Amino acid sequence: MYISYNWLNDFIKLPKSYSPEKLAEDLTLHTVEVEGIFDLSKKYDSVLVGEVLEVKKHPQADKLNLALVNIGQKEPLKIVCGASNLEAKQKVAVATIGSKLPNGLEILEAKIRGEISQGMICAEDELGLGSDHQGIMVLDNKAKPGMSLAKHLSLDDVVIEIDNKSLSNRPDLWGHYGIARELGVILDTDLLPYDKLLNISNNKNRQEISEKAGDNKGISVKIEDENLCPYYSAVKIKNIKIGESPDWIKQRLLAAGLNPINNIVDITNYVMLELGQPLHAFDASLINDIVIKPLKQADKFLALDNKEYELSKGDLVISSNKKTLAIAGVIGGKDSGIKEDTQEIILESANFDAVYVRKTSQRLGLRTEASSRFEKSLDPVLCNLARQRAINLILEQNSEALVEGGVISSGNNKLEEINIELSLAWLKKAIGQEVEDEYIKTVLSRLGFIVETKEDKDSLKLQVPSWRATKDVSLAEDILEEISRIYGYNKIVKDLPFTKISVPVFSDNYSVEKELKDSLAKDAGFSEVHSHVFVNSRQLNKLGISHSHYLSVKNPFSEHLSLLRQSLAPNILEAIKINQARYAVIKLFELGSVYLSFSGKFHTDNRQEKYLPHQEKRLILALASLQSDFELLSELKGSLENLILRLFGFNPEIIYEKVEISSSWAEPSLSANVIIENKSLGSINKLKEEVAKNLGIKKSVVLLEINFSAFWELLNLMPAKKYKALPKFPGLVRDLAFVLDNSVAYKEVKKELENFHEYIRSVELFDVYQGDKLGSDKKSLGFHLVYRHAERTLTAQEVDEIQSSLIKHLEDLYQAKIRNF
Amino acid sequence: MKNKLEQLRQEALKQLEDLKESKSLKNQKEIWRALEIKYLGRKGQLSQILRQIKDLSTSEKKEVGAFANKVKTEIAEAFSEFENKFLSSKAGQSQVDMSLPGKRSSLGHLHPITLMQRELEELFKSLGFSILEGPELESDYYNFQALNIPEHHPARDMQDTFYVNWEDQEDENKLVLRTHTSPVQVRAMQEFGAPLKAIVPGKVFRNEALDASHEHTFYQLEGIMIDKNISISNMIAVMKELLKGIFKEEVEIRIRPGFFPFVEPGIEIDMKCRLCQGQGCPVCKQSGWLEVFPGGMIHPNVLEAGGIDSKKYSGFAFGLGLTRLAMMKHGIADIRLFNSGDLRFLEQF
Repeated sequence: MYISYNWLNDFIKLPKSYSPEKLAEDLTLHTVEVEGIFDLSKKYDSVLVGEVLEVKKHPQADKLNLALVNIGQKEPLKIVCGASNLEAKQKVAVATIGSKLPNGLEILEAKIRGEISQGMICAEDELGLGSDHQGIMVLDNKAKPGMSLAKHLSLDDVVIEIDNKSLSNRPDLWGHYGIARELGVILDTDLLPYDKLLNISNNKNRQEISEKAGDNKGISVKIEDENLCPYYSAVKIKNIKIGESPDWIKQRLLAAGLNPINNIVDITNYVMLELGQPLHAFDASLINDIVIKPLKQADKFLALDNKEYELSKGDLVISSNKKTLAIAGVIGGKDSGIKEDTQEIILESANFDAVYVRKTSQRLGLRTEASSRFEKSLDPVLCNLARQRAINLILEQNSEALVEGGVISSGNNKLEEINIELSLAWLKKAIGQEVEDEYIKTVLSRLGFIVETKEDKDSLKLQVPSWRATKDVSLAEDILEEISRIYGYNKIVKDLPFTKISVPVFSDNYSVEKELKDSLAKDAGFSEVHSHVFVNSRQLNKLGISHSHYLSVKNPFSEHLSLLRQSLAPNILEAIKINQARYAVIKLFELGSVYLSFSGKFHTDNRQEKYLPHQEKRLILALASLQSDFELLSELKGSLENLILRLFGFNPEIIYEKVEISSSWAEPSLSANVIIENKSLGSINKLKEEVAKNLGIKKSVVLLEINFSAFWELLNLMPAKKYKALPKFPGLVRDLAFVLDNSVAYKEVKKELENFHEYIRSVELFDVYQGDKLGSDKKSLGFHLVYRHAERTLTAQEVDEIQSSLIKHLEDLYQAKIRNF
Repeated sequence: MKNKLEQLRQEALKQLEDLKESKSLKNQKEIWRALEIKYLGRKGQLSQILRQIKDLSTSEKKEVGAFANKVKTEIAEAFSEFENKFLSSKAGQSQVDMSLPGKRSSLGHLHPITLMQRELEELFKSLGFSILEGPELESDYYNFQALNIPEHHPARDMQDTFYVNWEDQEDENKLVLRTHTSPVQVRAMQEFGAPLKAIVPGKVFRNEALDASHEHTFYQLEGIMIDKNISISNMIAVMKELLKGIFKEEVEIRIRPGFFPFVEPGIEIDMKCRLCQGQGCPVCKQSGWLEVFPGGMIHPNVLEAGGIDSKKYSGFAFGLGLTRLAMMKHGIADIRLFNSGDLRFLEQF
């Protein structure tokens, strides 16, 4: 919102030394955030008033003239000009060399068809003062050559831009009067009462206006639903002549960012900018019975902005003779709008329900000056003030104008009184420092509260002013804010709190997460990525994943964000693709949530009946390079095993179990579930080559995705470590390597070895070999076996005997062939 | 035996001398190795002789032993000298280029957000704050209503929201991707009650288009402190102390009112722009100040939603933009890099 510095001076006396910068700072520190300050006098920096001394035809061009223009300097300027309305003795706006116009045009000295031009004579639109480009702008004859245009137009104002977001809880600040009230409090200065403003008008055309309910002389007002429209008033004014507004109104509208339209619409806007209450003016010719009602059926509506809107059943409209005149609180209709030949108008001043206005304007995608005020819950008391102010201004400017029949209204424009009991002791304790009672009372009175000191002197009874009572202020805490912001947060003495010490709680996985990330990055060389939680159907299709059971976003602004991920794989594959051209080996990990379409552990609300969808944290490791499947898989498994060793402190048995049905994108023979302590934690998979091709990935990719919660739960289940007595007798180590069919799984063989004899205490794989020497369907596995007896030293002979029968057993079982080193 | 040793010594040195004349380096190496084994190896000639020492008388043992050691050392030195001089690549040039860098193992990198988050977590841990988490996919109730933001409240405009389809479409149960970490305030109050000191770092979402300064997914860190007699003065002191902890020095701040429905009163702490020293630049929108730290006294409605008696307890809440802090700290101008997965970016941290 734009606030004019001069306008504020109508309501409070700002000290002469009070600069716009200081005002902006004060508002920011005590009330609302100021986003910018614009000095209008600097808008037309080097544009001066000029007097045309002489106009001649350009010798080389029919349509151009040569003008000699006096700008108050010794030598007049020579200017080439194409405007047909240029005449000698005119006063014009001259953009001199070096000036920059609001439309971005920079004026340079130029030669036009051989003639020097030392500036430009401007048209209205070039100066951003209107849309007229018919010819140059001709100024008032009293204008003084050489004077700056801004000064001549009285553009000696400064505009202060306020961040609308910081106003969303303050319906009272959507007009200059409200801002002036705040400044009055901050500066401890009196504010002109608004009803006084209504009376000081030196208008000769003053008329007594009565207010009646129901109908009168041809117009009637009926509200069908007082919840949606608590109050509506209309007044008919005759003998109107539509024309331009006087300059002072136009200037203020422009300063506040609105374009002048005509003398009636401008006044409705002027009052809105002053008081915050939107008004609307209809052409009265089509209107007699005004009904405010929800629409019975959907309809089309041509609005003032020349756009057609689709209204829905239930939308609140202003109608007459069954014709929709306006969307209540949002926008008026084209047909019932003020036209050049309008002679009778109906002025609307009403209050509409905030939620309703907001819903309608959101659905129509139509944000207007009116709707953005109504949706903040406006004070209904404003309706009368605003209406009276507008009538005064209209009558003042139309000496013939006549109010016909007084104000017709319906509904209630009184608010229920809100009273707050405020303990001063509580207030000071809540601020954390001493503030004087008198100060508190003064601030509250200036803000408009009716302050009554209770007998005990410690508490105040406060009546909230109507402009703060719609939603904004109702609790003692709200008063706490009023006092502390006006007092100034920067003045509050800082005081660190005393608290009882207690052992903090950490989310279950807090420390595990830290250790895990460190291990993956610092030990295993994986880099951490963050990817979006969104996936889309095209992406999933390429992976062969059906998304029928995926949670979807209701209102994504892009199709890319339409689904919520159920695996970290799709997006980490994107990351592989992004990096593949620059890195031979890519190692990435991500820890993030997936969102599944069944109920999880979090309640949706206090009733604790329903649950949010299940959300679990997953960890994914991705490894991409041109290495062989065997190398990739063993590196990835190794990274996992090292991670587990680091987190668990020992290596629990990890089983890679072949999956029955693998993921659609995974190579079935190269997919396995990862199982620890009979718990499946996730799976390890190689990306199918054809899928990689579809995705545009040119490397081999293996992925390991595990359920992080299951992982740390398992970690939590691990019993505290128990000390085991050191072996009293030495063990004997024997190495054993043999060639097997590829189809025989390592974990089978290992189990055979471990269970073969009680003296075999540990079995450890130390070598895997596949190669031409063995034949393509063979592999060799090498193990260290440790033989030990708890109560005596085993002899070499004993061990050799067990080992030979073990070899025999394996030969029989797997047709294994012992390899010699 | 001494003779034998002496003979062996001469023979070995002679053979080494002869080897110097040999032209082929490859050959030289092989012969040298064979000689070394022949004389100095475990089953070499010297060892064989030395093994016999144990059969000598004590006095002889001492004398022969000392001599044998001398011979052994001499031969070993000769062999090693020969190796250094003639066998290492090229004599005289065998030194290592000490200016070469070492051999590194390739480390991975932690995400800059993780690093920023850890830094703050350490700070808050040291002040006795708990570290909590909550669901990213939230209900409308916890994300808005419990935080004093009813449906159709204009404050909802401040946060463009991703709504998510779910079987249950009732108002309170409508699903949203949380627009802030604040819903965890209420969940934490319900779980732990008062007094409470906690932070909640996490991912939040806003439904808006991506550009260099806007991301629909970013990180926040929420903090709350609830106890008896917590005042505005306490809040400002703690927030200021935290800023000192984050920026490792006193920072110049200003405090102004800010509107957030879940606090009353609400404040914004601005920090003097470090880029322009408060002179005004594009980063601070010419104001000289950067909005870094919103907060406020927790609204009594929010305390009540969390099951805490607002007559007995008060508290404050604040939020920090983790992503923004990381951008400020490292001078990252494009917010999209964080979720890009681009290793050229990630490897810098």
